[in-house]
Amino acid sequence: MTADPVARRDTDAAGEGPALSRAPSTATAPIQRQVFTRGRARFGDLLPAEWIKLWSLRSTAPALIGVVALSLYLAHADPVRATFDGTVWLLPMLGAGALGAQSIVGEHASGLIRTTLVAVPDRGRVVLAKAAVVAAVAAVFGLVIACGDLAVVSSRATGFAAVPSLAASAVLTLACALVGLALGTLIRNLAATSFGICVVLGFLPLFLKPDQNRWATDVANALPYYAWGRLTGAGHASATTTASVAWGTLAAWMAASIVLTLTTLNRRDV
Amino acid sequence: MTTSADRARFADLLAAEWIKIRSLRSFYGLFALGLTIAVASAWFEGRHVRVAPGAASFFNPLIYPFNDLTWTFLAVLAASFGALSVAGEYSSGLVRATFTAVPSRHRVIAARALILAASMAIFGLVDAVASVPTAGVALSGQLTGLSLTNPGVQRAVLASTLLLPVAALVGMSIGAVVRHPAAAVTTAWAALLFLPDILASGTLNLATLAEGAPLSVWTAIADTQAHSQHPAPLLSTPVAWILYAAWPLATLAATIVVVGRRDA
Repeated sequence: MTADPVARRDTDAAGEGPALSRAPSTATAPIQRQVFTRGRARFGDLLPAEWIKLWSLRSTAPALIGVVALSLYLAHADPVRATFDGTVWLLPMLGAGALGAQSIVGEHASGLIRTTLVAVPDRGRVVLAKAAVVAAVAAVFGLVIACGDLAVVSSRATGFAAVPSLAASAVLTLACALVGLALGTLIRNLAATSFGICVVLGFLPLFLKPDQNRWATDVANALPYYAWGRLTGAGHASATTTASVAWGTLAAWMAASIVLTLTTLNRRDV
Repeated sequence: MTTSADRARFADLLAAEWIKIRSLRSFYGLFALGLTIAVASAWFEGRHVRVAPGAASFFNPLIYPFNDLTWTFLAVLAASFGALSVAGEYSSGLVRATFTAVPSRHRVIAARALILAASMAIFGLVDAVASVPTAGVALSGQLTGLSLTNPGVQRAVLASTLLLPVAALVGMSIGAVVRHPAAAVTTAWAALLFLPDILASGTLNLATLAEGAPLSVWTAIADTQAHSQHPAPLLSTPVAWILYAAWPLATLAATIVVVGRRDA
């Protein structure tokens, strides 16, 4: 925060003056190397780039705030609820999924992805930067809603193991955002991606519940929604696994989403 | 009568709308996906039931071919398609060409609604007729009554055939109001599945409102609720039929008003 990172890098090795203006006059190796470093985006540059892309969309902030407000209103209005309400938490899950999907599909729709990958040919780093930014925003988003939920609940229930619930909720929205990113990379059309997110994150847990036959129970236990339910004790939404398996399920969804995003974007033309 | 040659007749509009729909690849994907899901789900639901001897009367056999979440999925497919048939035209710009060719917007919307409803009704009929014997075979030796000649089954098939056009017309109004394809699809999911679920789960204490949702109305007409000690409250059949007719008509009227009043 002390100085503009680009300006600092210009002057660091050369002593004074911007490196690019000196390059033609002195064609020595150090200068060439320095020109090369100057031109290459570091990971620290990719994160702000993705941050800017995310928030320069008009709809991002209002959509997130809208979901937070609606979730907290529903949490407040529910007369019978004791802890986290699974059905209401479908909203933040879908919101986080849409956030992740929009971050990649929007680039494909506008053609910005070509500029991005020309500027940073290493697609893996672009994906990691995008995933990091989206995941951080989604985790804060989930944490805010979970804290709000707890604030509403704490007046009615005591002895509630708050920290694992808060952590699980943040990880849930984080995982959902990465799932959205992966589906968006795979499908590349926003309407179809939204449909896919609604199916994977919203419909599957309502269709396959962990109290049915063996096959459905196994699949339900592997869904992020029920893993989260196991960790928060959400009513009607608990997987029939141990807590560590539930954490592992959430981690597996995150890892699989990242791998899917990386391999898909690396193998495809843009 | 001199103008009649220049003016597009309603039959021309129907032909135009049919070309628009059938030229969408997703139209055929929707048919294939919906039929696969319907048949696979009927088989899956039927195979995983163990009926104790003499307990068959406690089971409602209709919940296997007409599983509520499977048919919610089919309804959302139809609603999403309906939403995209309107929203997609706005995002591609085709709507401007359409309204330049036919300035009378309500006739365009009426033609599209008719084509959409007819194709979705065929879609629903095929799914329903395929699901019944599938579940019947999967349940053979355990439950009887899943025959297409059974009046109860016929009523369920009729209600399910109508479910997809009803959902598609609800979807059209969502597409007309929202107009952004992705937002319209998400809204269709929320309107048909997530919102009624949240209302019925006790939140807001508005379970009565959830009873009027299209899928609850379908459950009431088709009698596709599992027999249990505490069944979810449903509307009486006559009221349900009225609402089943009111949903598509009201949303079609909304679509016509919204499309007519907004800039294309």
